[in-house]
Amino acid sequence: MAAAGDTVVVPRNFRLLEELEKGEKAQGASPHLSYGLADPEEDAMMINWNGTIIGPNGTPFEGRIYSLQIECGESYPELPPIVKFRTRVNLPCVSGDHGRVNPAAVPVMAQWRRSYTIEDVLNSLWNLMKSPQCRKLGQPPETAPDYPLF
Amino acid sequence: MPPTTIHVKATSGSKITLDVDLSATVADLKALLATPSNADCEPSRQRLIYKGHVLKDEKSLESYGLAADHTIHLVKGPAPGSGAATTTTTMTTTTTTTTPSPSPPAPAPARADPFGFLGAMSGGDPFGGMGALGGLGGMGGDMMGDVAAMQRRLAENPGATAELLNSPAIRSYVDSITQNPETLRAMFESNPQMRAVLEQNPELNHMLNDPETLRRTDPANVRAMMQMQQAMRQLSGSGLGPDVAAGGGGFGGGFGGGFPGAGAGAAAAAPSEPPETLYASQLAQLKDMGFFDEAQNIRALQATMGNVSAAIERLLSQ
Repeated sequence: MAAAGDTVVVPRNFRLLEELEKGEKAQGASPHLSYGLADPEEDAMMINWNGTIIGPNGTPFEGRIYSLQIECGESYPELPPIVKFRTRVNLPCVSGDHGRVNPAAVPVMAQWRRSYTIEDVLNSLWNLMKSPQCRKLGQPPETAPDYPLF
Repeated sequence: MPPTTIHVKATSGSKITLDVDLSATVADLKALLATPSNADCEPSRQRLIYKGHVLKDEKSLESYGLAADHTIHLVKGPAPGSGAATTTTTMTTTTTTTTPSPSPPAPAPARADPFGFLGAMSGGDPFGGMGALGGLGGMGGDMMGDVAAMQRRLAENPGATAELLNSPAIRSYVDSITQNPETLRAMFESNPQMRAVLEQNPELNHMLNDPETLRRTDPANVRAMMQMQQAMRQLSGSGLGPDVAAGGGGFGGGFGGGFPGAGAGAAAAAPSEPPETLYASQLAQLKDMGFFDEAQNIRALQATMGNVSAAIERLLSQ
């Protein structure tokens, strides 16, 4: 956060509070997404978030709940969050070793705009799961161990 | 502990509202949901998700920070033992159909106003000087809708207002506005309608003359904010209606509508342009987000006056 009196932008925390409420009350348009602060008691800067994506019907991801870690750094929303799958998944934009989402492979993150939100990022991953090139991908068994934490 | 009203939303979009005791466990909630009048789904098949967590049966609801009016997602898993086919069936029973509509917020009580005001300011980025007015227009739909959400949040939780106003981030923001009241004044005076508002509300005028007032959140200040909000509402009611409809009304919407050429107001005023040109940036955004059907995107944007958030909502509900 910029020091008071320095260059002041629209407060990051203000924006994240809005996103938090939207997540807690599920006011977004996406019933297949959920997100919230990982540690609301300790994380006053609202950096670490959890998210879930419910795999889209009619795809290899159907019926699975994908857990993700989302890190909204101090430069969020100027820069996109860092996103990482916990649940094993086979997607072209996800590193097979760490579950890290490659921002260059997700349009919303590659062409990030300040107005984009955590929900937009999760939604675009959900959309990628539905895309023709991902529908054919074999997926790890549901029992596969989670990717390590950040 | 008195019961707390929460919502459970199934992946199909149907929504159940029920009263729970927050000290109850997740398993208790599942048992409650299993009844035919609720989700009608046996507990072993229910998977509950809240704030990005899959809820564990043995934990209490409050341990996850669940609070009044929050929403839990319900995913129906396969019947145990059914083995191979993993299907996520959608729920058909609907006890309460609470449509999550972006309805304009009820007039926010006084306590929400100081913050709604700041929210509108943040949308406009007053520090960009006069150029900010253009930016404000651009922000129109998106930002203003969010401000409305924030106002609701504050209206429901009065304590949060004081808390937020005292938080360092907001403090520094308020300070930076108050260190530069001329920008604020310039924004008001650049528009005849706004100027009239100032003239009719001496308290407001005073506030702009005396930056200290902004810093204090005393009752007089709150009243001044109230007056301003009312005036804004009248303005927006008399003028550019569409922006309010798209943006969610309240102070934010009023603010957006007050400036000629603001956000959706401008879009509505220039219907002769082809939608591809008119909504070029919004279409690009939708495409980035993975909505590839351009014709459908255009229809959604037309229906929502170019408000991307509302358009997404529309596209997803189709």
